Amino acid sequence: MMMNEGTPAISIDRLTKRYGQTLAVESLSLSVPQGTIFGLLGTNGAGKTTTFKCMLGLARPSEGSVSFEGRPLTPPLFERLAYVPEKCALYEWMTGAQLLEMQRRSFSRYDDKRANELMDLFALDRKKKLGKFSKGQQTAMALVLAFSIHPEILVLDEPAAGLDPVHQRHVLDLIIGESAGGATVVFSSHQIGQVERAAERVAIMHQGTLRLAGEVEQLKSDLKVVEATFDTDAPSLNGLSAEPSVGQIQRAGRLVRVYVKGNGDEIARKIGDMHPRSVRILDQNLEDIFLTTVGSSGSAMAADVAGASGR
Amino acid sequence: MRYTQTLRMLNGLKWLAIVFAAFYALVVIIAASNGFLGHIPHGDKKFEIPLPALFALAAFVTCIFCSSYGRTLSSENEDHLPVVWTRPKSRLQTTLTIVGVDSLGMLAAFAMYLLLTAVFITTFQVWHYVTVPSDALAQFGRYIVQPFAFYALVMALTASTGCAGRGLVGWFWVGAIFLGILAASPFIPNPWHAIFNYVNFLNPLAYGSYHTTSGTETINVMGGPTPTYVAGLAPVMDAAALLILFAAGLTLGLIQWRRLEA
Repeated sequence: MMMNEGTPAISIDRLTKRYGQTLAVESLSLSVPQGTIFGLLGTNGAGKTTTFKCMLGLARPSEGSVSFEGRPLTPPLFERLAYVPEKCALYEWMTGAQLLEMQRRSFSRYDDKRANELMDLFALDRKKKLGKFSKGQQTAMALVLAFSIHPEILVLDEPAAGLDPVHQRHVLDLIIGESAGGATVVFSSHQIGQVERAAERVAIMHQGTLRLAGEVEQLKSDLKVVEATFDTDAPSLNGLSAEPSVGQIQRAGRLVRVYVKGNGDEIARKIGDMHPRSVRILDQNLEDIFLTTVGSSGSAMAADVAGASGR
Repeated sequence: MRYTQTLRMLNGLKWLAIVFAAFYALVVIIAASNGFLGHIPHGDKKFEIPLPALFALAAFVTCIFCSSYGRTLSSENEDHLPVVWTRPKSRLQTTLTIVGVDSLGMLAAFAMYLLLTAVFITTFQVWHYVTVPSDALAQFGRYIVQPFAFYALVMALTASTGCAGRGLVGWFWVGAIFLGILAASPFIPNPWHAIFNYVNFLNPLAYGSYHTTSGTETINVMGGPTPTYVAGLAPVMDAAALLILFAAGLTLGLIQWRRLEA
């Protein structure tokens, strides 16, 4: 089935999920454009897995809704959608070959040639029972099943967890390859470097709420680090914290880093007046952005940026 | 799900066949070492093997067999829901597929037990003792349905649980046997006895008793001389009651399964 151009592949509208008194996800709204790679970042317990579960009907949202290509999720959509959960959910008593057969019988899009190529790529033994696989191999098996059906939408929760660096790279290549073929990929990972390498857009969740969302390049250009080195211990920069563009200030001996929104020129000039040995303006990488976003002092700034760069 | 459940079922039947073969071998070895192979001494008493008694035993063995398959939904809840629920099938279709495969497995287990019995009868050359009462077909109907009712009630009891379902099945057996004893006991005063009798209508094991008298010989299978027919009228009524339990169990199980979250 072809999608309408411009219709988001996935739309999450004010999604809230409560487990008893615990608020796992609060009023989350996100939009994932078709054919993009979307990274969902967050600390443990941020609500990423709950969000995935609500998206896929594995958990009922307390409030809000999720739609795929403008329509609610129905079982036939799973013909074109693959999900790899954080924790391996496959049957440990089945062999690799039996799991492939299970997939073949469940999905008309199943591609046996592709599945076998992936089994070889991850060096998985078809005759071995899943219970005898290592954790990383179990994750790889789940990935083989997911990619073997040529999904149009891929939802991957920590897809590289437990994999060695070589296979992590394979996963990244597969994600990028699927996206290049037109698939929409949503994935979460604690490996921020991988997300930065693959994702075109990211969302950062913290304590169940969305803190930041937008295109990776845009976020990186909107947020800078002004780094200064002094001959002696760095002076107090309390005066700068009142600046609206300043998020977090880190001091470590003679080094000081100020995380700022915007180009950072004004802040660099003010620090320059304090006669540092050097001062320079650096781009923030995704890890910097993530850490500033989930850090309490950076939240306000991140929220501002989310307002500017988000959906 | 059909493939996965078929693998599960075939694996179960394989183990059942192994147990039956081991049991047969053990009995034959013991009988042969005592010189009984080829005939069974029974003195002057008239010896009878009513066919429904064999059905009753087959139903009981099948109930044991389906104890684990009744909790398939529960075992899927042990971390497999992200696989089961992300197939292009609704939860209703998935459940019906599971029940369909399990039904074939239960019928196969029932047939395997009857086959084992036939092998024993042939081994000990006692075919001429097997009698076929006039209600044998109706009795067959009752006993073939009994494991289905048991299966569905196990499903209803465990569908919303995970690992805890295993323990629940054990307690279900204990409860069903204990309830049958209470309902049958003449020492329980009313109104308790009447209450236990009514509650026993919901006990699928209670429908498994078989009792017949022929001359001086009394045959009691699965419950002794307590009411042969729980529903009190005829085996057909018992079969109807068991079918109601089956339908109710499935419905309750499905309702829970559809409300479940991963």
